[in-house]
Amino acid sequence: MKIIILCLGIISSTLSFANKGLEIAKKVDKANEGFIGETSDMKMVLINAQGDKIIRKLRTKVMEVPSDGDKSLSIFLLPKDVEGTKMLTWTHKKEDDDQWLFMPSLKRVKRIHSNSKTASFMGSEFSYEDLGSQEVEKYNYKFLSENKNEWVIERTPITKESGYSKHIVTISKKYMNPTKVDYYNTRKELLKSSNLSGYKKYSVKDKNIYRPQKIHMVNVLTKKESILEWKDRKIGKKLKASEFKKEGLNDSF
Amino acid sequence: MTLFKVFFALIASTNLFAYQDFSLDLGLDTRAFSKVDKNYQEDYNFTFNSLLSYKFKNDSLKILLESYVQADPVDTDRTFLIPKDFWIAHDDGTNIFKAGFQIINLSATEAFHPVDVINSRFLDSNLQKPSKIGEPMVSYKRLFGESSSFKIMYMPYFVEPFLATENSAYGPGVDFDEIEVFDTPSTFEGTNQLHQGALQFNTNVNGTDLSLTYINHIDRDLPSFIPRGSKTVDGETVAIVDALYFRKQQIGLTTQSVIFDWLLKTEMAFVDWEQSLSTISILSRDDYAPVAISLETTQSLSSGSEITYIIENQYVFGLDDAVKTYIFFQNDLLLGLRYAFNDVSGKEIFLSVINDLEYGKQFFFNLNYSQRISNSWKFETGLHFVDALRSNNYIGLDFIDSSDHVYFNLKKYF
Repeated sequence: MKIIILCLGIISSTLSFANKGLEIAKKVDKANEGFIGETSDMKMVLINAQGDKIIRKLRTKVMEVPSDGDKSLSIFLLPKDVEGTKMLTWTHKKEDDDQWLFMPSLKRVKRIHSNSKTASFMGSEFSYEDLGSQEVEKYNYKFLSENKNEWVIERTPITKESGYSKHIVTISKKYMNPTKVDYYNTRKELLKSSNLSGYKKYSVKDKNIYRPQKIHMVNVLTKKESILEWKDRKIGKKLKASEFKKEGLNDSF
Repeated sequence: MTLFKVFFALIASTNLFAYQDFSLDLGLDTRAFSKVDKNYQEDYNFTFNSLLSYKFKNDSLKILLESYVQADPVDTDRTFLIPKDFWIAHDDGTNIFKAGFQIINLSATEAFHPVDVINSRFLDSNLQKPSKIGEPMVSYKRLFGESSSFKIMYMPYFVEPFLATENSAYGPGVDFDEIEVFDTPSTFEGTNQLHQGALQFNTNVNGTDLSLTYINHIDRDLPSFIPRGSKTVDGETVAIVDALYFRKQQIGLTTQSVIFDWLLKTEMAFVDWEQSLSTISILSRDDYAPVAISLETTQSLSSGSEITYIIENQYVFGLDDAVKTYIFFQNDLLLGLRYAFNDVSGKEIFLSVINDLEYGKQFFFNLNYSQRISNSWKFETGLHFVDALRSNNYIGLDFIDSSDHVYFNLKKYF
């Protein structure tokens, strides 16, 4: 009898931690809803283990889709050999994302498979998975701890195609966004750690939405680093729906 | 005059200088052939090239002016300037009017492109991806629904393909003296000004991208070659050959869809020759239907690199034996592997082999390696190797059996 009570206790507390983790994730998601549209220029600084730096640049546009995942368009600006390349992504809450690539040298729109989640993005320490839309439905959650300013939750990707076994996410109660994410590889070792800083407040229709100006990702195993910085970010912009259609990928600008 | 008025009206109606950009690429392409017959072919193996580009965008007005220049210091036949994309467009997000030289890509598959036939090509360039030449065109595209569009194109001028020169190892070592357009039965047109047009409908059905096209134009892929005597150049006798081009209608369908971990892509076309085949028997050919099917999957590695595996087959239905003798890929299988390091240099290796399933022992190997040296320098190198000469009949890949070569291309981006 005692064992049954103990088991029920463990199950109940596990469910309660899972529920609280999910509640926090939903709360964060809700706080970031209503941005309508977002445009920005991004600079990525790649730093190797010797400290050498290389710059990458891209322009991004994101359109909020209330009933599904967001739609995003990335236009590559630097390095020059890929200038004008566009990547269109339709994220979905549960199904695999749809992705197309426009290659300006061939004037071709190519369908691409979204199973390349673990591939490096432009040679950086960020993978496509790190930069994709983090839909609540794509993870299982577990509440870990809490203090006056932050929650700490564990997030486990549902898809088997993920390169991670779990993320430990520290969330700011003020910004309602992560300030630190630790990524664990499939062997359950700490692989990478990112710090999100420089949060800036944007007002959209009487709602305050916070966005980081910088993400600093460090690969714990290789000692390589990547810094992602945002410039000229505008939130609340009503963007043309045609820009997020495959049929709208006509040219390199 | 009317066109100028429209141009200035568009400029005046918008706020100028919202976005504009100049860019310039300078390249040096070198190659070395191993089996060239020096009696007939003499390829000088290096060219300088440049792509100059100007972009302008403001609200609904877009201008793209891109020209490609190639200079061969010795062989003047390989020296030219061609417009690539050279157009002005009104694009309000739903309606896109475009006028000028345009490059159209209708491809879905990776190696065989039976549907992608609108532009003429430069046939002395990369054999698997020959460069396209801009086609003068007026087009209107309308976007509707979540992922559908309709496009109508009018092309008033037949742009001749750049055939391999008599010196090139890609060609048969003859001088293509005249290019004639054979538009209606029994008559040479004597002009390149002809009515040509195309329609395209794109949509997405249950996650599958579909594109249906109808093209009525002068064909660029299967000219007939008629010998017309010889001439003496620098003391040597050179054959003179006329290239004849014919009007055709083509209906094409392409699909792209995701099935589990694979991308399934298809291209199929039905080609209907306008020419009356009974009038000149030497030029006769039947209607035919090429079909290409491709499967591709990508595997990500823990290092961040990716490996892509490609398997692709093209089969041509209804092709008569006369045409089979000079079409490269009538029943061929491609196996390809791309390894992308996804590192700061963008290193990439591509390896492919094409096997002619009909004639058996015909193989076309291709190995390519490319990487950036910095943000503004890039090189690619590799080799093409053809093992095909099996008969004296010149079938399929026999034609390019002497084109084995290694290459090294360097590019600087400004």
